[in-house]
Amino acid sequence: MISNRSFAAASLLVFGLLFSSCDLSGFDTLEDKIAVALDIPGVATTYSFQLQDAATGEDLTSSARVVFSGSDAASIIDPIFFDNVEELEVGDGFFTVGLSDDRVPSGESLVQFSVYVEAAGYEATLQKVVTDNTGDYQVSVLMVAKSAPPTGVVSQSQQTGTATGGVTSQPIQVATQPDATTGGAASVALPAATQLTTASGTPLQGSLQTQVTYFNNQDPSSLTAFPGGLTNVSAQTQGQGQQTGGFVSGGFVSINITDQNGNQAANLSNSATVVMPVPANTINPETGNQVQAGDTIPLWSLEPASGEWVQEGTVTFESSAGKGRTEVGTELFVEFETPHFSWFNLDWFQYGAQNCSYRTPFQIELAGNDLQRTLLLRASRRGGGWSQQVYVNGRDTSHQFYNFPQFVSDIDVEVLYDGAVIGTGFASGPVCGQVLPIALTFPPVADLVDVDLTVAVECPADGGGTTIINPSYPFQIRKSGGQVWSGVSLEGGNTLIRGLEYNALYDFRGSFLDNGQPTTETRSFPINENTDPGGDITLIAGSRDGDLVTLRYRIQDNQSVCDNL
Amino acid sequence: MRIEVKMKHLIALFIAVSMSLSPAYSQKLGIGVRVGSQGVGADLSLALTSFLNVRAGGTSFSIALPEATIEDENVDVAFTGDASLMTASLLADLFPFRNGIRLTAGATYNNSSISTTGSPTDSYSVQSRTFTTQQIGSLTAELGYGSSIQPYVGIGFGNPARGGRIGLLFDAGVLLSGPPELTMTGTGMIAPTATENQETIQEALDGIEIFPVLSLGLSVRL
Repeated sequence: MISNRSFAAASLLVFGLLFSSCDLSGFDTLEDKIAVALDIPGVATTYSFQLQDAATGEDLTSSARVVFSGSDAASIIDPIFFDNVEELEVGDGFFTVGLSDDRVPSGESLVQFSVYVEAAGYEATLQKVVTDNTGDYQVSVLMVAKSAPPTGVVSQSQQTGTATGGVTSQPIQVATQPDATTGGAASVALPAATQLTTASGTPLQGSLQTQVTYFNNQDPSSLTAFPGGLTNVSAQTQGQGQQTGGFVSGGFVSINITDQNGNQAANLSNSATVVMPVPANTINPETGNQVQAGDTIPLWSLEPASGEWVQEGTVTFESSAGKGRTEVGTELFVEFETPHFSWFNLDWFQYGAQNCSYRTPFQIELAGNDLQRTLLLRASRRGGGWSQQVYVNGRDTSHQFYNFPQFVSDIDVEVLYDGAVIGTGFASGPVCGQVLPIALTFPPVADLVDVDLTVAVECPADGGGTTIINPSYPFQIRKSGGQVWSGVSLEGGNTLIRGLEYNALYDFRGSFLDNGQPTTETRSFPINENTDPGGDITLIAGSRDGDLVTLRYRIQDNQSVCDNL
Repeated sequence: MRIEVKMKHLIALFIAVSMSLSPAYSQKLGIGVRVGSQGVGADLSLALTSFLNVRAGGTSFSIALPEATIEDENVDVAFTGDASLMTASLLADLFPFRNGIRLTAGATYNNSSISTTGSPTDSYSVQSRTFTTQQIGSLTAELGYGSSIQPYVGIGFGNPARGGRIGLLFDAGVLLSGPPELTMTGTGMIAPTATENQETIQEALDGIEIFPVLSLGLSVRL
């Protein structure tokens, strides 16, 4: 038996347990702590563009104007806010756009658009973009600096008198410096008293500046910077109408005459005479032999509004020696008359069934890229006339070239990582349908780790509380001081970055459209489990387990992203 | 509100247990029916001595929870669900004063749980992009106990196995349940909300170490 006192004590114990074991204070602020977290799906296809100096490979630091055109240009959008994008002002050579979700690229339905870029001090250029699958693409647009062009490009700019009411006061004669490959110069000549008007009919007025830029067809650095590129070319042919195909180039020249107000001559009352040198070792794809005097090649000019090449006619190769034209070097040249200024291209053209289609592509198999590094792939035809350069996403173990002329043959392929060649190959003969395996050898690096990176954006809500956004978005990374940026994609706020050097400093950058214009955010920090960038980025958790570094960050929104949710 | 009591199972159980006992004990048996914080249930008491009973019983109850909405700046999530209480107990009742007042201790199998599902109340638009409620997805939260066998201590009044034929029963006590454990999962765009909040909510739940027991009932001595 127990006493009343014992019973009272037991009762107290029960009620003591009842009340002391319930600490409900955690619920007082629970409502404020609970946050709705959302994975905002990114658009399925993004394009991160780098506007690069063709000679140095560096991103442009000057402002550039970017205009999208072509059949799928209407599907180009801001990848965060999904507004259509038609034109951009880019300040630092880097921007990212997306493809509307209702436009899904496939082999049967290629997504195609062109990017026209003009920047002070650079030749304007046109880059064709073609994709056959969803993904995050890295696109390089090579820009030729007028004052420091890459190998294979020569440019000359000079004062050439004045114009009054559009009428020139003196003859115009401008020639480039001799091209290192041919020893020849490209030139333009225009008689005095020629009326110059813009495309809209405005007469040029005041002092005139004439610029001639010549791209030879031998150097890959020249061919890969060809405005408009050589594949997926939209061309208005003579006789066959509009066709999409590929070029094998005999050379390219751009001619600009501008007045002191920046008006650019497009139409001439008298024809101008244009001369272009042609390297004698150019292989004529129609004969398979080196070009000879008397061979012919189509001449094309660019229709800027549509991005379409228009066939002007056919020109004939001439021997400089036979004509006594020492100014064009000792090899071959072409000469033609034109009543307008544009970009002029000498190209053999194949289209339709004459092109390598995506069903029979020239395929490069890459072995050894275990760390999924972004690679630069450069394919060049022996004998010149064709070269392609493309960044290959580290997750892709192969790349396919297609939509180029079947008579492109004997291709050298180089694979570069961070500016160094890490693999080469050669495909002889016609390459359509060929598979070229290339083994890659990377320079050895000690203490590589994979980084499991999680990023969440914290959006304070007006009425209190928080919304957590787990973004899906592409960004770029490179080892500080390195040359090549690699593309990385956050999916639901998470990504695995392979093969980074532990404790080495890396640069991260992303581009966002702020009020419709690109803004680049770049951060640098070392790769380890303790890295806390500070500021608006907070390290939530970091650890290293063997070769895996796990980092979880929370970002206080500073991109006005939250304000637009 | 929906209430579901599985009384017929409990009654069948107690009748079977009663019939299996020997006649010597049959006059010291009692049954009780109760309603309280563990639901509705019944138990069978056996008086071992004048001051000690053993009691076996169970409770069961389920209820549809009223809808609750988490209001967010961007996505409101409405939760619906069920609370299900189910216990089975083996207890000792000590009558220190040889009257109805008793101390109770024992073990309870506690299979109680709460299950809720949250769904967005509307579509969600970001600029020109609209996500349907199906794309946003749903959240599921399950609340249960890691250890299903839990000690019970309490006090009470009433002895079904002794005294009058009909009696009143009252119990107040605690199940030393430990904190309920929360499991949250999600689908679709809202799925990260589960992992984002589970730890926070669990921290609040960790302050609840016991399950309070209060019940009233009637007993019948057999």
